[in-house]
Amino acid sequence: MRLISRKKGTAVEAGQPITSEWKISDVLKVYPDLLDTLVETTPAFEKLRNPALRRVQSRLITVGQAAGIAGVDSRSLLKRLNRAAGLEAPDTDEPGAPGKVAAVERPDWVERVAIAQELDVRPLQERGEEPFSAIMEVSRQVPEGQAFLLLNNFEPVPLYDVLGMRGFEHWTESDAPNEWRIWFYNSGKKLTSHANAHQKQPSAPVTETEWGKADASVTIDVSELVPPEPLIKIMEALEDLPDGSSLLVHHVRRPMHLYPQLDAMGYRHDTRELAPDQIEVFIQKPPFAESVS
Amino acid sequence: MKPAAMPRPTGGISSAHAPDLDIPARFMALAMLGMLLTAIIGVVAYPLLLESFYAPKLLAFVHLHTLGIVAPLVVGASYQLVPVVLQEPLAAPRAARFSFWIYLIGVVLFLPSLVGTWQIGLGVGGTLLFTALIVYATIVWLTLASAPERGVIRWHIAAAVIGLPLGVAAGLLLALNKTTGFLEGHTLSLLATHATLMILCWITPLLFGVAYRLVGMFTLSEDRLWHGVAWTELGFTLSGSWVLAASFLLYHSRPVFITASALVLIGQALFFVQLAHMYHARRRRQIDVHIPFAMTAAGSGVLAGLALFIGFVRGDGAASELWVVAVWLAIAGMMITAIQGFFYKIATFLVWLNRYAPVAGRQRVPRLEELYNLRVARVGWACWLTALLISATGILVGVDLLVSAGGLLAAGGIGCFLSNVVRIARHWQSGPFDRVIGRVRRSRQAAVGERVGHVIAGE
Repeated sequence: MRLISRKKGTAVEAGQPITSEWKISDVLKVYPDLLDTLVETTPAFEKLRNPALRRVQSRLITVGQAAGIAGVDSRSLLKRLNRAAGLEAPDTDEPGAPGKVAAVERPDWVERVAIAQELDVRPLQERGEEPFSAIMEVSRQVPEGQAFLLLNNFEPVPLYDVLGMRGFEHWTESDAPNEWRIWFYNSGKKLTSHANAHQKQPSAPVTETEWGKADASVTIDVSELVPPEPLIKIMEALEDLPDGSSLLVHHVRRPMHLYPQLDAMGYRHDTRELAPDQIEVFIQKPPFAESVS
Repeated sequence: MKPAAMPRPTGGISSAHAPDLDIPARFMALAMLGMLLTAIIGVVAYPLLLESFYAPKLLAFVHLHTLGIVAPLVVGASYQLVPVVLQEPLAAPRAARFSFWIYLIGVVLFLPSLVGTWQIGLGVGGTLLFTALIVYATIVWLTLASAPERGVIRWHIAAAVIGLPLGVAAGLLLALNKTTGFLEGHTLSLLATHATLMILCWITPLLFGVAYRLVGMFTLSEDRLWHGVAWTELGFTLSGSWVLAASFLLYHSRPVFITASALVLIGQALFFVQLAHMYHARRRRQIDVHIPFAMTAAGSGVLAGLALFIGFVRGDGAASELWVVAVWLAIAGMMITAIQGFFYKIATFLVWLNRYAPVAGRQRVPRLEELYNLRVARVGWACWLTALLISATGILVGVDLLVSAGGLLAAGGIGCFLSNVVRIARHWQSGPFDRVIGRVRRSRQAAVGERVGHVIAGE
């Protein structure tokens, strides 16, 4: 059977049941016809019809996260996708909690907290550009005890964990399928990543086993950038990344000039060539870096 | 079901694999000095193009372009680009660094000796240049041999590396012959072979191969490369070039010359079409500064090939102005134009890397385009293009004034280019803030290691 795509560094093939860990890009690469199924599930996926947006967003979001963004039960989404692909849904997937990560009750800080900045990333999304750097830039400028308001055209579920580790609580409201308002409140309570807290060798290469277990905190796609923009984007993302977290970079070639920078900063990293024009770089930030600097 | 293929781990890529920036920088600096010299003497020297191509001063002027600009730029850029293009560390970087000094002494001895036909200078300088270029060919070959890439770009570079040693060997023989005359009646044949090997068997495939990768990278059109066309182009270019080189030396058969030059012309045309296609299909829609230079270079290559073909079809003798036009369009039109265009990407990127990569992410860093003046670059291109057209026309019609005007415009074009080179070079030196950031990053690395050591020790 022909190897078509991959998930988290391992190969995925046509004929394999789709699981919640599959990236949307993998789903669409292996089963392009499922774009219609996704759009039929919820209008929130309509934007995937835009090739530029699909190229950026679909690589960053898993099926499980997409269910959260769409506000549907992940098991029912998986069942629907697998059925449309002519497959049986996997029996042993995670519980099908709906992806809604937002708190049930509106926290009182939403009313009282001062909004330091408002950021509308919808124009960036429409152009197929990644808003991650802009969001992190704004988050750095929000003083403790204040918040920033993010306007997006879908619920940015992966962002909750990233900003959560930097001490941001969130509250999400949606007036329409393409209109999401998310308040990020800087509580000042920074978290550390337990998964990476016992890292022993900051500059040792990432092992094969770790690749399999690795769950990057942030994923960015720099394949649509020309040199040296990928290097800038990656360094900005690393700068924003909480200590001990990891970054997964999608690229079209090995970033030869990035490696010396990573080595100089004691970051662990490894690179995998998935296909001739498909490279993944996995980077782990040392757990104590922030306190040292 | 076949087992799922695992991604290929690359494992252990580190700073040891990155090219050392000082190696390409020193060769490129030498090439810039060569360019400055051609701009200074351009107005006076361009009329030399109307003389016999075997005149010592014209030979010196042409070699100022080839040995003073093209070769050091190509060697320096290769030391930087081949590891990046092939994703393989450079073999023997110390030898590469040392070879610069051999090359420098060689070129300083050789060029003046060519003007004055000074035997010792030609012999010693030629031998040193031969040695430095053989070291270069060996290093690139070793790098190539261990590189994982097996595609069409790799074979372009491999073909170039094979052509170089024979070309420089022929050049050394010609240099030694200059005063001894031991080649007797074979001098012109060997000169034609030397020019063919250096221009068509070394620089052309190298330039084409690197262009396929660079254009793709800088315009987001890597996936638009027509691999079939690239292979076909390589086949036509190599077969035509090698048959031509051999024919000059061995056969002297007109049908063979016509056939070989036709193959060369088709190879050049295919490169032009490939480049036009990649630019047309690029996803980075803005017109980057290198694009007009690259298209001018590709167009000049086609015109040079055409001049060669017409010359052989007409059965022109050794004194024909078409040969001078063909060689001039190949060296100034194709090579030096391409060098200017890609310099704006390669050298600017190197300077950016040296200065701004260590602080990227921590402070605002400029874009490559902000390191030079785009308007000056475009004016420079317009001057250079006009200079090429006027000087080539002047050579064809034998009008001294046209050729001199070409020299003046060429000096203007090179002047614009060099003013941008100075702008770019000013960014090389880092300021105090960058040095502080560099120290912080190094101390961070040391401190992280120390703290992890404490954790492991249970402290």
